[in-house]
Amino acid sequence: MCKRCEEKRDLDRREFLKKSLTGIGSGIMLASPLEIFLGNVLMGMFSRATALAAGDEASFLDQKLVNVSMANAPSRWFWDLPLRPNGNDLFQYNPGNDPKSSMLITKLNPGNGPGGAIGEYATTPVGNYHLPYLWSGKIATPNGSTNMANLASNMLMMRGINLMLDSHELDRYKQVVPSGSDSLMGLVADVATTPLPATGLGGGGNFYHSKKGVSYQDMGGSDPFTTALSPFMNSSGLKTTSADVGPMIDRALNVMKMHAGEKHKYLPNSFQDRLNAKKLMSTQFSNLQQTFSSLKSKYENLIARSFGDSSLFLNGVDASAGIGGELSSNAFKLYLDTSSRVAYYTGSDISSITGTKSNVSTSIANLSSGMAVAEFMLLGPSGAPQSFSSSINIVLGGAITNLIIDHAVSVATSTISEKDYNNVRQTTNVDAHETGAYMQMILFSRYFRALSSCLYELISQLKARGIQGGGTLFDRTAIAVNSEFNRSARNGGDGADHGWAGTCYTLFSGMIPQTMVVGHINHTGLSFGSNYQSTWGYGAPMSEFLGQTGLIGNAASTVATLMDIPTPMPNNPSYVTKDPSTGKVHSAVAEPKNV
Amino acid sequence: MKKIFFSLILIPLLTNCTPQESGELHFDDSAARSVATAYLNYDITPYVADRSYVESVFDQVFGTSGNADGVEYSIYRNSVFGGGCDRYAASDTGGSSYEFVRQQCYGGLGVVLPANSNPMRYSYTAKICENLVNGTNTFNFAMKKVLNVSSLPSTLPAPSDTTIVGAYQLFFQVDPPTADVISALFELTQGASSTKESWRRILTAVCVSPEWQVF
Repeated sequence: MCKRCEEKRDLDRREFLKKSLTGIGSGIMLASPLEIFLGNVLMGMFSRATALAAGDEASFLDQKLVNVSMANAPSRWFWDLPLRPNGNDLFQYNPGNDPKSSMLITKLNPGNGPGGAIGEYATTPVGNYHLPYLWSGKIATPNGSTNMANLASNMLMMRGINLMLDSHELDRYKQVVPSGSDSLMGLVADVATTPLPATGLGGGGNFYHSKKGVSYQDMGGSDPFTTALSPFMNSSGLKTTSADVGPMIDRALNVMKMHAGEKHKYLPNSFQDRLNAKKLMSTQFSNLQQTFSSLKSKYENLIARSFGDSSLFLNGVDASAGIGGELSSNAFKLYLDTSSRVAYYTGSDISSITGTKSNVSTSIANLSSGMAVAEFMLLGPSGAPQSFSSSINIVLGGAITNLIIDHAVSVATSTISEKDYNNVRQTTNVDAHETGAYMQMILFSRYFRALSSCLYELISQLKARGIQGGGTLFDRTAIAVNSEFNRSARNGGDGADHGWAGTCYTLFSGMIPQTMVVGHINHTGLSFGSNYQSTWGYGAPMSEFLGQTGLIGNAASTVATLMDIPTPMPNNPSYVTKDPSTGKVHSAVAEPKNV
Repeated sequence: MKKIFFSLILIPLLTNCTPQESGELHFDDSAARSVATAYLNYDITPYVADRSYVESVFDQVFGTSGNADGVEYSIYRNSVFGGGCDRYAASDTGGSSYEFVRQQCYGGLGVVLPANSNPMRYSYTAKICENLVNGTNTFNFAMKKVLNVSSLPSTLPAPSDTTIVGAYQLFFQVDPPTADVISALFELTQGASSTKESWRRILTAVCVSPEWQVF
């Protein structure tokens, strides 16, 4: 090995990124073939062992990716799909432009009639953009509440993405496996130095493929921390971990490792796996189940309060009584069962539709567990300098499913048979197809309030964790939020279908210096079908993408840019570029617009 | 055109990483493959030994077959080592009862799980290795192979270069150890309380090495 090469290996990861010619992520999208080539050469020189040289603390220097997949596809215009980001963009509700029968309402305003109300697509200014009205409200924190807008401080919303495919399952995979082969989660794990590089729950393993054979650890179950760490426990008394012989064995294996690369280029990774194993075997873990329960409980409380804490309720969204009036009956439609398909909510106490019972906290499957897993795997046990994982994939269940719990169902039983009621409790068929505008607004607003609250708490924990060289763990982490697709708002306000040609993809990261919105959408939605003639998010061409609409590959390249990994979709440019000197990203495309 | 482009770039780059005293270009084949495959967004997943292979190695080295259920259970009870469903490897306990079927076949799914390199694999490996090295019968079985004898002498000979090679090649039958590896293994004898302890350290080090599980 030449001296120059050795010097390059000695650079820590951050310095490497600063000093490399291209910055793998930043340059690769728009770089020339020569730049791409040089970037890969430099990337190849950087071994994952280098970052581990500094010990446990180095595990925090990995770029971390947490993917939150919202299964069943909630309608996104309530939260991370600004339909009028500049405040004055072209916009229409639906043919006739009538908010009374439109899906695209984010707020109810007092109407003309007694107790009446009229819907509106309302926004609130956040940073330089106008975000959906929900962002004007508050979210729960463990010690009180904060403005939801604070969550947007380091956020990138990519809208108008055409998935070119209509499928719940396949489009969900496409978010992190855009090419069908290389997965973002796997690419992050491939360069990870953490002992359990890839973890997740809720079927996250289905999204996962490592080119280097790095395995995925499922974190499901009631005691996932113990499950994941049990292979390393009860290791006392072994030579491997003993103070006298253990280091001698390490030295012998280090000599073997020096020859390992000659036999197989990834064999050194396996030696690193053994060292990681030893590290965990030497750690005394205790109270893992209690730790999980405690973290999960923290997030459950946030979720429960998001649904039932009236101090968090937002005027015009969580309004209680007297809703009705000028909204069409379609707006109150609920898809409660596969046989009857349609029931109408007839109660007057709208605020309690999702109830305040304890099971509200688990109504979004995997949310509390997933956040607990993410926090623990990123930060390690309290006081222990160890990040366990770098690639965490959480698949949330439900969407509207399970949000409508016993109370809401019982209120609506005037139109539901006993058989259907039981079906509702047993099946998971409830989704956005036959759920009217108002019901979606209140249900999804609470869903997104809960998600926002959990994300804010996780991010707060990451921000509180400083890392070597300055900054916090949030500066090394990207949290991606996506679902299989957005929803296409149906004319008439009685439901929403698969908006695969106009989905969105949102990132939270300390690498994102401000609130950012990118991507163009079509304001009529007409080309998607005559049933969807409104500004629901249908993608529009972007000159930066050679006149193509945004594609999932563009979003994937954006994630790759943040993660400093090669993009799995090299022909789809990133929405952002990254400044290697600051580690911050900047928009590489024009301001969002509606056409 | 692409081949020409590669040639032009590789020469100066690899020249920079060449020992200066050699005076000639040295093309590092693995580095070139790495660069080229990364550029082409194509790579090779390493083959990692599945549980059947791992079990067979332990069986050959330590004679675990039929008398070390702990080893079998450690390998089969989880999916860490990967591999396919092998119902024929189940132990017939009589009365139409079989051990390990659920574990081997992952709850009856009968799927083939890909074998991966991961920390859990090497944690289990370490525990199994140390269990076998410290077991009287399994240790003696391995030492007979190391010394190439049918019965062990009453006093074990101290490790030598030759016998260390024998220990190494219990697991790596194809490639002999390099001189520095032999030397590193020999250093494990320092401070050992007995010859047997020296051998136990050497066998442990070779056994816990990931090298024999990746090919």
